[in-house]
Amino acid sequence: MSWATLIGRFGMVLLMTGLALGLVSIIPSAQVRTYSEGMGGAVAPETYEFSLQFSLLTPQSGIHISVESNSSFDFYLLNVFTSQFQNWTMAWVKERFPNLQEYELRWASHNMTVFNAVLESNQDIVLWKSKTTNKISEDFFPPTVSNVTGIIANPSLNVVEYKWEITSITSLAPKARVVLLTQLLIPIGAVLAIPWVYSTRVRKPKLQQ
Amino acid sequence: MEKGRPFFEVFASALKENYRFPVLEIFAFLYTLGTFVLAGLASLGATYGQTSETFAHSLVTSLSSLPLFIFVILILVNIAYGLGNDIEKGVIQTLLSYPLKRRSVLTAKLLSALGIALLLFLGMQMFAFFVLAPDVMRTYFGTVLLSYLAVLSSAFLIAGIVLLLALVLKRGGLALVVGIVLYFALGIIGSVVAFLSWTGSDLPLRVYAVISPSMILDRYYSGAGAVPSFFGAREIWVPSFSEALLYIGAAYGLVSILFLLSYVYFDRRLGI
Repeated sequence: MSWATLIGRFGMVLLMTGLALGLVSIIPSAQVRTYSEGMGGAVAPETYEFSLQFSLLTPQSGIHISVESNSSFDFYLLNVFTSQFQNWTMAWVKERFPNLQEYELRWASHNMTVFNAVLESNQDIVLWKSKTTNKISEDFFPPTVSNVTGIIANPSLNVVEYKWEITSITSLAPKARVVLLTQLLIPIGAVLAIPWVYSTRVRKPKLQQ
Repeated sequence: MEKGRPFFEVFASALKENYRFPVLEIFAFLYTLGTFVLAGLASLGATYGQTSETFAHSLVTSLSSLPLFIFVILILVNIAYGLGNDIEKGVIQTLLSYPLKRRSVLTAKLLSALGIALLLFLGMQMFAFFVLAPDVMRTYFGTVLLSYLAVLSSAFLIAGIVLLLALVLKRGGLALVVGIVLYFALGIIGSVVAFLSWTGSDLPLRVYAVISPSMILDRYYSGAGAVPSFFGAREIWVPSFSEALLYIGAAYGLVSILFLLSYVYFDRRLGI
């Protein structure tokens, strides 16, 4: 057995592994449970609201987020407990306006300025941010096990009225990783296998007519 | 001739025979697909936030279930059909004419039949772990390793029995059939033993644990003692960690004896 055969067969194994992973990646995610069919609300100008409060997600069990509104909004998925995020925003406001009452504190903590300031000092918690739009429909799988809080933010001066639906979904494997590996394995396998495939075809004696 | 060269020549010829194109490629495809499909199905039933040793063990069990069956089929075909047919058809005489000790010929054949299949199996499993739960692999590497040892021991036991049978009977086909029957029989015996443990003594469970120690590790990690059943709730034996280790050690002791017997038989009593 020559080195060319050994490398070629190894390449074929990589190629087949890549193809199997490719097959795994195209198997669609399965819906497990819908949290909030047809629920909706309104976000006042320059404020934000919690839409999904604490859900533990893994690279294989994610969520499908679907939000529609009358005006543009930003949607964030943060890797933090909702209560923790609330504590941060309240603390931020309290530090700057110590004389505010509890209800005023709560109202002020939902301001976009506070939100942006807290996010700026905790940038690593942002798992995903949508483009500013009035409609999103997105599958989301976190890269690691995460406690996810969903936030709908309204940076505009109009009231945003929205309807949303969040469905927990599960996939056979983390899509992003599987797709990346498929894209790596197939070309590497093909490059390693081609010389061997070519040599086996050349070596075959052709039948005389 | 260099000292190691005949060994590699026998090994290479065994490789060529055991993994003709596209056998290896098809098995790699099946291993990958089986691993990920079953891991995905297992995740449906996984408890949220379960990142303990139990999760690591249950992930090994679910990742390896279908690929283990494929692994057993591959090694049975390689050992029974490959080695058995070599003896039946007299090909082994050519291999024995190499300037090698008999046990080296058998080692080269087993390295190809068992070693490469094991490398492929473990490679795919580790790859799946890396893709699905790299943090679990890092944190609970010992648990993962122990679970694989337990899961693989029954496959090695069947391989050992089939090897000995193929050598004694000198017929590959028959050894292959016995191996397949044995694989399914072990599963059936496991169910019977579980049933018996609900109704009566723990002894069958302990005996079966020597043959299939993965069951003992399941019991250790699940910690399920009392089982409500038709016959009323009953305390069933839950092993301690040292007991689980002892049973895994005993299972590998049994496997070692079978392989040792095969080596002795091949070396002295093959009659070729």
